[in-house]
Amino acid sequence: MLNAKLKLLEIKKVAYFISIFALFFAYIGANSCCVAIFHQPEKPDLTKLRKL
Amino acid sequence: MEKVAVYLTKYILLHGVIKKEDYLIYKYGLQTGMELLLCIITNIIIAAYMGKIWESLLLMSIFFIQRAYIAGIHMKQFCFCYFISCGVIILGIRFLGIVIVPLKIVILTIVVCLCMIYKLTLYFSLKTPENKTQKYFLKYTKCIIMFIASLSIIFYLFHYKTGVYIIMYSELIMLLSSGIKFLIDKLLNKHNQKI
Repeated sequence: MLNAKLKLLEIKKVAYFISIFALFFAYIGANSCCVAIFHQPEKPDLTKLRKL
Repeated sequence: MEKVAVYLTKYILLHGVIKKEDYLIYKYGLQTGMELLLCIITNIIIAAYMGKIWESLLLMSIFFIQRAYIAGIHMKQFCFCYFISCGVIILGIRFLGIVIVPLKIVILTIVVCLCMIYKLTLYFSLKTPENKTQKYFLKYTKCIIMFIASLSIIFYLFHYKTGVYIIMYSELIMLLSSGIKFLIDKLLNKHNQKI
């Protein structure tokens, strides 16, 4: 039971890390013209993340 | 890369870390982040093999800062973008030291490129419908141009030829990218007017 809970915690940590990574780059994308390279994926509505 | 981003976003959504309405935002962030990191890691590995890591880091930082606020061409597919982005950086560091141009001409080229990039940015900013975004990007473009001009002067004064060449190369690429976008825009406008 404890092992299962610990495993779940580990999985959640990984999920949180991935979400922070995604949010960081979404924030950069929201506040810049283009995120660095010659490709621009379809931008969703990023007004929530804009600091304008 | 999009498939990986979709898979990872579904993973974090399933574990209740994000809300359903934010799904697209996180998917966009993941896709952009992974593409950028892949490009950076590839460039660093190739530059390490060539023994020019610091030069590649300098070129990438100058180039990426400009790409963030100065409009330029974009590829539709990630594969083309990946090869072009890596190719641009690797070509730059490959020909460092091989192509020899007098420093004064390098500085002149940088100044001319910066002026033309600024003019093109003004043209693109007038096309955006939102005034706030336009002013925001224009403000940062001016800061970046001033920063690069100051950096090139500092490198010139300290006789850091490599740095000056790197700045000249990145400005030429930025001008090329913005110039091609400008030409495509003009051609599309002409085509639309004919219709």
